[in-house]
Amino acid sequence: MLTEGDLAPDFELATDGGGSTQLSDLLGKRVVLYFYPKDDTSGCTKQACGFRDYQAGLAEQNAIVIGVSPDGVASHDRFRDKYDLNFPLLSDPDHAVAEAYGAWGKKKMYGREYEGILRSTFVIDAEGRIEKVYSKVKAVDNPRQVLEDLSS
Amino acid sequence: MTRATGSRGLLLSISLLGLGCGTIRPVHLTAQEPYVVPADQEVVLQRADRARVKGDSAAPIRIVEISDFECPYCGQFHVESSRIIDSLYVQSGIARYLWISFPNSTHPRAWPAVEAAFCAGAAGRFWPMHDILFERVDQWKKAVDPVGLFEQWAAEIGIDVESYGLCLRNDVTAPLQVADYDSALRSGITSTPFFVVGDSVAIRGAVSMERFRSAVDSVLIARGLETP
Repeated sequence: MLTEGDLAPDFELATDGGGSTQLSDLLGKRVVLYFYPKDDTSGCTKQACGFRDYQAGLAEQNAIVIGVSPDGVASHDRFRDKYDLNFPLLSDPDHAVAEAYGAWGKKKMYGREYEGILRSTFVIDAEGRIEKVYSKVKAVDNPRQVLEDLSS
Repeated sequence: MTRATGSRGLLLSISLLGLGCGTIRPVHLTAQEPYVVPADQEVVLQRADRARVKGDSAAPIRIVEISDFECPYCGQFHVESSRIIDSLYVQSGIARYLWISFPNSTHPRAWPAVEAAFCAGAAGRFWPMHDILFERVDQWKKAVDPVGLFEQWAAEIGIDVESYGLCLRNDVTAPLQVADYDSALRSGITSTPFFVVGDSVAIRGAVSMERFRSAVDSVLIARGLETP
């Protein structure tokens, strides 16, 4: 897992609505980069809707939100439209970016162990460095917690 | 994670820059004499332009790097890949390497740093100063007097500080900096680092050396050339 002060790994990923987003294009803004397991599932929807609702407050802190999951762009498009999400959702099908951020690893569900997205959020400062890491994130609380921390 | 993409409009603009031809002849006569920055602005600009190109002028391909001394990803690429590129492609005579300045709008200190590099280039010491600027970015980007630091480092690499200071403090290389910036902007480049390989392949971002090598080698193979 990355730690505060590390240079955030650069990436270019396909985004909902077409085109791509490159992290190094966003220098000058704080980026709230959050990794979530799957579109339109219970926890992920709560987290996405939280970031949607706190978008204005985050913008006041010069921050933009980016969500990343292994889902494809078509799935992201449906998820965005269904919940009026107002930030980009990036597609990381081979989970290479998640791995670079340490957001991919072993998980347990119903006693079964498997590999998947470790729900985590990174605040990246305007110079591309990791400002804060949220690991073992609770989907519902995370957006408010990020906004409070950025505003303090 | 990052990917190489072709972009004809961009490549055409870059190839029309017309910069960086020929070989620099440093004003440096013996080992004891310092490298001097010429007094004439036209000469400074010509020398600075040529100095940011390295490699054999007869090399079959050209690699252009569009960069920003204050950009952390440019610094990362410099640390991780520049020596390997030098060894694989430049020193082997496969590629000429051209460096173009394109400071991000949030990096005001990058402009004086480019001045520091170009003035060093006018004295025939662009690449040593280029390396220093990337490696000591944490020192100069927050310094009260970065120019003083640049002069100190110029002396370290054998440049005559008096002529160098005059160049630095009088914006002598400003036309070259502006020309670089405008060219990159007109080419539609929005971020650094950005690379153009063989005027045919664009690489966006601080890609891994593996991806960079794959992009360069694909250009060589397409031209029927051997890969290193």
